Parts: sequence; structure tokens; C-alpha cells
Amino acid sequence: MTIYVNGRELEERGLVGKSEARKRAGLYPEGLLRVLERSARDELADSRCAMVEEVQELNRALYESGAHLEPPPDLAREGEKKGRLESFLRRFQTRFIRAVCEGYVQQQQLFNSYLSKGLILCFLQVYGREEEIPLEGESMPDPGALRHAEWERETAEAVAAALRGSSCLVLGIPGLELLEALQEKARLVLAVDPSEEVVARAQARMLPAWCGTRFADLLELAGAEGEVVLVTCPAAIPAGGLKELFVWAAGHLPPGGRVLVALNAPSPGGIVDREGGSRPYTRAFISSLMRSRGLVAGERRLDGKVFLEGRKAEDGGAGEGGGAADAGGEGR
Amino acid sequence: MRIHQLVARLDPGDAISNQALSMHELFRSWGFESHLYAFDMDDYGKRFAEFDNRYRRFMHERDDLLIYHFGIYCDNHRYFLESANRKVLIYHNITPPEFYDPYYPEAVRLCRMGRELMPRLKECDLALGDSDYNRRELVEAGFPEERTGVLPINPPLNKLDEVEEDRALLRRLQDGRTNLLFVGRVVPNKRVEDVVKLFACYHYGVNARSRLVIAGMHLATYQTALLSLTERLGLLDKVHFLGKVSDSSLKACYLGAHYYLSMSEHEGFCVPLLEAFHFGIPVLAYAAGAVPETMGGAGVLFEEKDYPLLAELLGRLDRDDLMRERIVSAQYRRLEDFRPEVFAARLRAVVDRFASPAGGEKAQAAADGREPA
Repeated sequence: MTIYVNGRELEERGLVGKSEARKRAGLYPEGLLRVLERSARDELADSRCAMVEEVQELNRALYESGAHLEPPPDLAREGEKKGRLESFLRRFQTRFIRAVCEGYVQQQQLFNSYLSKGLILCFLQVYGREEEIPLEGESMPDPGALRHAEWERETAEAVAAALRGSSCLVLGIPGLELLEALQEKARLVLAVDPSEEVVARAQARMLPAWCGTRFADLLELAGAEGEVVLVTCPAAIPAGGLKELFVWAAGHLPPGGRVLVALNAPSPGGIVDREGGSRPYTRAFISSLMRSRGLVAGERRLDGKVFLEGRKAEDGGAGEGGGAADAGGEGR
Repeated sequence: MRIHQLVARLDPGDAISNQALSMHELFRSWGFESHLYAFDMDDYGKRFAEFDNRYRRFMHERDDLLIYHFGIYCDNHRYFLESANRKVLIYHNITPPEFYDPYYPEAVRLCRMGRELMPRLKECDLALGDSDYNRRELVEAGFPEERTGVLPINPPLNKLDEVEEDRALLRRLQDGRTNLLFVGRVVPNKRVEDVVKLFACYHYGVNARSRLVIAGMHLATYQTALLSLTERLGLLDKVHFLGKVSDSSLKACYLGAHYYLSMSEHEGFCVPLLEAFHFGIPVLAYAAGAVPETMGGAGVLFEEKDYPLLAELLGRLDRDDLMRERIVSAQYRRLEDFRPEVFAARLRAVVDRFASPAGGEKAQAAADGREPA
């Protein structure tokens, strides 16, 4: 590929090298590259826009049969009676045809416009902010407030050592040490975190990290596969997101694969999210989610940090839970 | 001499309308009697133009000059065909209909009819493209080459300078994130989906603290497809489709942007490139249609859409201040070619070819600021 900067060919070997390195590091996983190959037409074909095709087929058939929709010329001179009515009809006919063809488009635009305005109005009424509408979910309860403090290097090393040799997905980045330790001792497939700052720092070190809050969707998009899913800060995930995550894990983890959920209580106090989940979640809540997806729940301690571990049965089927967590767990 | 300009539609923000209006102002400033006609117009257009049937009273005047702005099929081309005036066609290019094929049947029909009409318009005194790319299409359509020329667009940059930016929008854009910008109609030939894809690679691979802003009127069906793709990429909260924006919001977009992206696969000129130049934003553009010609050796051009590689290039620009400054400097230099005085001189040369001695003297006197004899 040739790139010209101010008309001069750019020496691009360095760029190609870095881009390839990012691919190798997992920043551009196969799932993402597959979506990049989709065209807007593919998206249209998958959506419910068949009416557009019908209108187009009709227009094409009319055109090819010689029934041109544009009306005949009107070249009557100013002041001549002949032509005034024709001129009126010509304009009316043309505009009518265009109105019919464009009507559905306009209606959709109007609908979108009213819907957007309605949403903004509701937001203002609920949150009482008059000056600005948030661009990036600024109004959401700040998951960062519930984040764990960054893990100590020793903790990161201990967790990485416990996961030695496994391919890992990390949800919530408690510092780059963990990612680097996992890259060294295990295989880090992808880390996801809601914080743009943390992810940008990881990206700068070529660590495979993505930013987002809908973890299960992002893992699906990446086409990510791993043997271990490490959830470092469940309180940062809404209850619905946590449920989706276990659904994803039950479907994608190989037999014997694990979900490790850190249980340390975050500070400050909890929040109630839109799905009704009260965060931080109780041990019983998380273990029941694990069991409902066929994962065998148990407890692990690594460098003083407590984790709930959900393991997928070796035969890949649903298993009934046991272990310390299933004995009842701690309520809040 | 009377000068008549005929357009399909006159409304704000449209490149053809802006061009016709800027010419109208110049003609009047030179002392010509200038008229603007449109098949259709909104309230803004009505301040300057009349409906095209008002032109009929002049169409048999042999000394008048008729300028027809051709960018889409419109049945007011028949005035141009039948007129006894001296005739100039300005070709702004017609999007090849196949781009609209699955999205917008009416546009397919109008573009196809427009392209079929082109050869029939060749019986004119002069045919101008607003780029050499457009001029060559005229020649390919059968226009005699010796009667073709180029009259570039006069970008309405002073209009953006004069307006006050939307401060609320600008404040939100200046929040520390890197803003990638696309401006223009959200239509299939602009390949906005490719802009989203490049942003996806930049956001997921290079810089998570980033957003994409898309400002321009959208075509609903195509927009549906774009939203679907954006959602599939998990970027609905990072990609902002602003729709058609006011001049003050547009200015805020330019002031808040860090890079301008164009992935368009068909352009007859592309005014937003020059607007981005004007606001000192490095432009990265796919080399298609008249884009290389408009950029004139400034900015970044590429011939393939390798998204991870282009994302890496954006990352390099993030870090390389010198490279960014060189690009912006070259873009400012290129902008010199589009100064209003340059455009006025070119347009004047065109008009002088047709002005009768009396009309020319009157026009020259007006240009010199004295009373005509």
C-alpha cells in the first residue's frame, strides 16, 4: 500500500511492522477483522429494509418499459396561455412522484428526530441537568467509583502464576502489571475495561486491551476464546452484564474452563443498577449465577485475594455446584 | 449583459448552491444584471432565486448568458437545451447510480437519467468542470475538448469564519479525547462505513480515548445500515452521527477535530477537504475521484484501505508533532489556490469571453469602481 504525505511517498515499513505487531498481540482479533470485511450492503441485507428493494424493482421495471416518471417538457413562453396549466401540472406531477418515493425516508427521519428529542427531554427530566447532554454515558453511575485499587505486583504475579499456561480473558484491568504478568506466564487473549485511560495505557504497551462496558458483546465481537475468564471487579459490571457474561462463558469456555471472580469489597458504598442488582454483589448471588449456567462454583485464595471460581464440567455439560461458596456464602 | 444561472435546487449548505450564490454576488458586484433560477428551493433559497419558469422571458435573448449548474437530473435542463442565450455548462459531477443502488431508488433514477442526459448538453459555448476530473468526464461524454475548461469551487470559508462556534458542542469535544471527523452528506459514495471501520481499528488498537464525529445530512436507509454496522462493532457510544448541522455547530466540529477522514470513492471536488485545511486539521483521504486534485499534493493520501495500517498512521501522527505541522503547513499553502480573488479572476475571464463590448465596458467600469460611459 502506498501512502503519500504532502505528495511524497511515506516510508511505511515501520507502520506495517507496528500494525502487524498489534495484530500478533491480539488487538485486532479475527472476529473484528471479519466484521471489517462486511459492507454496508451486507448490513442492509440483514436488516428489515426489503421495502426499499421493492420500490427500486418497481422503478426499474417502469423505467425499462419506457414509462419514464419525469413529465414532458414545458417550454411555453411567458404570457402564453398554453403551458401555464401544463407547467403547473408538470411541477405538481414531479413533486408528487418524488414525494411518494421519498415519503418513507422523510417519515423515518422525522421519527428519528422526535425520538431523539424525546430521549433528551426524558434525560433532562430525570437527571435535572439543563446545560449539557452527555456524549459518552457521563450520566451513568461511575463504575470507576467501585473499582478496586490497582493490584500489587505480588498479587498480579501470584494470579498469573496460578493461571500459568492458560489462555486468559481479563474483565477489568487492575493495573498493567497483571496484563504483563499474564502475557509472560500465561497467554493474554484480551482484556476489557470501561476506563479509556487504562486501556489507552495498555494499548501504548501493545497489550491487547479494549475499552467498553458490554463485556459479553465485546468478547463476541472479538471472537475471543480462552480457558480462563478473570473478572477482577464484578461491581463495575451491571447485573445484566454479569448474567450475559456467564451465558457467554458457559457457551464458549472449553470443558474444564474457568471463570474467576474477585470478591474483595470495593469502596466507597454500593449502588443499585438499572437491572436491579445491588453492587457490590454478594458471594451467594455470584455463585448462584455460576450454578445457573452449569458452572461448578468454588473458592480460591491467591496472595490473600479471594476469588469465586466457576468451572465448566470436564464433559462440557451442566454440573451441580459444590464447594465452599455453595454452602451459603456471605450475604452483605 | 444579463447573466442567468439555472440550478436544480437552491438551499443552504449545498456546494452547488453555494457556488451559484457566490457567482451571483460577483456578477452583481461587477455591474451585470444577474438572475438565479431554481426548480426548487427552500425559504433560504427564495431570498436569492426565482422559480425557473421565470427564466422563460429571457430565453430568446441572444446576448444574454445562461449558466447551467449540472449535478443531478432536473427537467429544467430543457430551458438550457432550448435557450437562444450564449450557454455555459458547469458540471459538478453526477454520482454513478450504482452507489445508490440498494438504498435509494429515486437517487438511482435521477443519477442515471442525469448521466444519460450529459451528451445531449454538449451543444453549448463552454463547458466547465469544477475539477479537471469533471472536465475529463465531459470530454468522455462527447463535449469538444477545446470548449471545455476548469472553474474550481469557491469554498465559502469566510462564512465559517464569521459565524460564532457552538460553544457547548466545542466544550464537549475538547474533553481530552482525540476527535476524528467526517463532514458531508451521509450517502453511499462517501463510504462512511469505511470511516467507521478505520475508527474501529484506531479505537480498539491504538487509542481508546477517541471518538468519531460525523456531521451531515443522512440518507435514512444508508444510515440504518451504518448504525447496524456501528452497533456490531460495539461503537454506538463512540460514533456520533450529528445529522445536518448549523454553521456554528459545523465550526465547532472543525475546531474540536484532530483529524479529518475521507474514505469517499467518488467526488467531483469535495469542499470539506478545504474546510478542514482552513481549520488546520490534518486530512487523511482515500485517493479517488477528484480528491487528489483538490488536495493538490497536501495532506495524506492513500490508495488502499488497510484499516489497521491507517490506524497506525493516525497513531504516528498523534506522536509526531513535526509531521503534523508539515502536513498542516502544506494544506495552508494549498488553500492559497482557492482564495476568493483567484476564483474571481477565473470567473471574470470566463465572463469576459462572452461579454459584449458594451457589457464588458460597463462591467469593467464597475470592477474599477467608476461610472460607465
